[in-house]
Amino acid sequence: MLQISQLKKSFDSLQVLNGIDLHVKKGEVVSVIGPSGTGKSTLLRCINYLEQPTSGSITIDGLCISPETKSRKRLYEIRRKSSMIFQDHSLFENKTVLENITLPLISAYGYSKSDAEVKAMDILQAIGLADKYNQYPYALSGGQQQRAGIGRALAIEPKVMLFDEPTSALDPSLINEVLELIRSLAEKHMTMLIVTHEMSFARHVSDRVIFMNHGIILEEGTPDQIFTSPRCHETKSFIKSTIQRVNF
Amino acid sequence: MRFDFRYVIKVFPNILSYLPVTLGIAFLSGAIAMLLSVALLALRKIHCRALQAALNFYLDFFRGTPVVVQLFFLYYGLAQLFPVFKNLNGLTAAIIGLSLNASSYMSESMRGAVQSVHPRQVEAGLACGLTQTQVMWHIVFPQAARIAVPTLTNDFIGLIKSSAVAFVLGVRDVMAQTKMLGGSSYRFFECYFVAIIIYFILTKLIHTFQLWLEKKLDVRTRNGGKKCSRSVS
Repeated sequence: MLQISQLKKSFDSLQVLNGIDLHVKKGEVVSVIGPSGTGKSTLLRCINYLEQPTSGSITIDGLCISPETKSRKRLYEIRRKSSMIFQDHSLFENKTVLENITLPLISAYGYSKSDAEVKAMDILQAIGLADKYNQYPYALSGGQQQRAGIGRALAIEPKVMLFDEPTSALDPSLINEVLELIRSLAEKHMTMLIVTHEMSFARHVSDRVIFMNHGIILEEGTPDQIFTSPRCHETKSFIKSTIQRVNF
Repeated sequence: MRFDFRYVIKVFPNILSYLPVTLGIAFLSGAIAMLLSVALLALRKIHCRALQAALNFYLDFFRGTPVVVQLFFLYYGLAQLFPVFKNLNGLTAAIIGLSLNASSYMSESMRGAVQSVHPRQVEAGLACGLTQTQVMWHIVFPQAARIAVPTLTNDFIGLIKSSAVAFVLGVRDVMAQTKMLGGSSYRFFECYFVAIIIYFILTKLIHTFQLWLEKKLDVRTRNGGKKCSRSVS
């Protein structure tokens, strides 16, 4: 479903991604973990071309894009195959919850207004936000905002969903409602790539866990293998430090 | 000399009858300046050093020199150099000069407003599959408009006040009429008192409109959000 090959990205002299190769199968849930500043977010941003990679290609659902083959049309096509959930500030602040979902449907996917509203309401029902449909984002809690953001991402029926630390900006008491929603998507076999610092969540929800360090995939494996018997020294110390933090 | 209130009442309608000229200059210049500002803002996006240097000079020139000097320069100075400007009447020259001057302020106000929209709003829009133009139109501009209202209104109030300078080009507006009546009756205090009242009320009305518009554009004051055509089922 998602194929990344030899993806490199540098900002001036700073090399952030040093050749990433990754294949995510249909319905697979892959978590990306690793220390801050190792290029996890940049990887996601490159996948939907919010950042243009320096080199390498990305294929989603048979559509391939690379810096050489990039065109405006291809760019919009590839973006419409994936959807991204950000840390915060991602709901359109001048639009109601309902409009947040219907705007992309109407403007980018050719829905009529009434069809878009029916679909948006169905999604809001499913994520438990139907009663908030005409509220503006400022009136929602952080958790509700993130759920609405996930709802918007779901509405466009993406081939793959990209989560960029979806709970990092949340109050600890609101994290669970968001994780719960993501878990329910995993159960429905939505293809997902999740960058997260929620280790126990990554362990329980993922089919595969990737450990990134210094712009490369250092180690990958099943959650059990990564969390209980990591091969690399770096992975070991990273996992150890996150567990120690919990026991502080 | 004592303050003659009856004279104030007497000249008030006379001076007020020139308000349409003042308003005409202000609103027409304001509208042209807004269009120019949008154009300047769009040109800012083009990566060309020569163009950006020219834009910077434009802003520096119009913000860095007095508006009265600019008007004289345009009306008297350029006419000497380029014969095409000889046929320009005072009113047109004033409108051109004030438009150019105001656009330099307004484009900066707009730039600030656009920049203050959170960058994630743009990214989220693009990530949802919207085009750059759709993101600007549906998300950035509506949010920037709310932020730009106070500064743009300030610029416009400045423009109304600057329009009083048009009298130096022979335009008969509120200021020019006040000056003439004052000169013929020697009742300067009463005449300028009337002019001040007129300008003050005018700018106060604009300010009231600003507050109303700010409230209207702020989603936080829309009770429970806009009505949706579909109810919750």
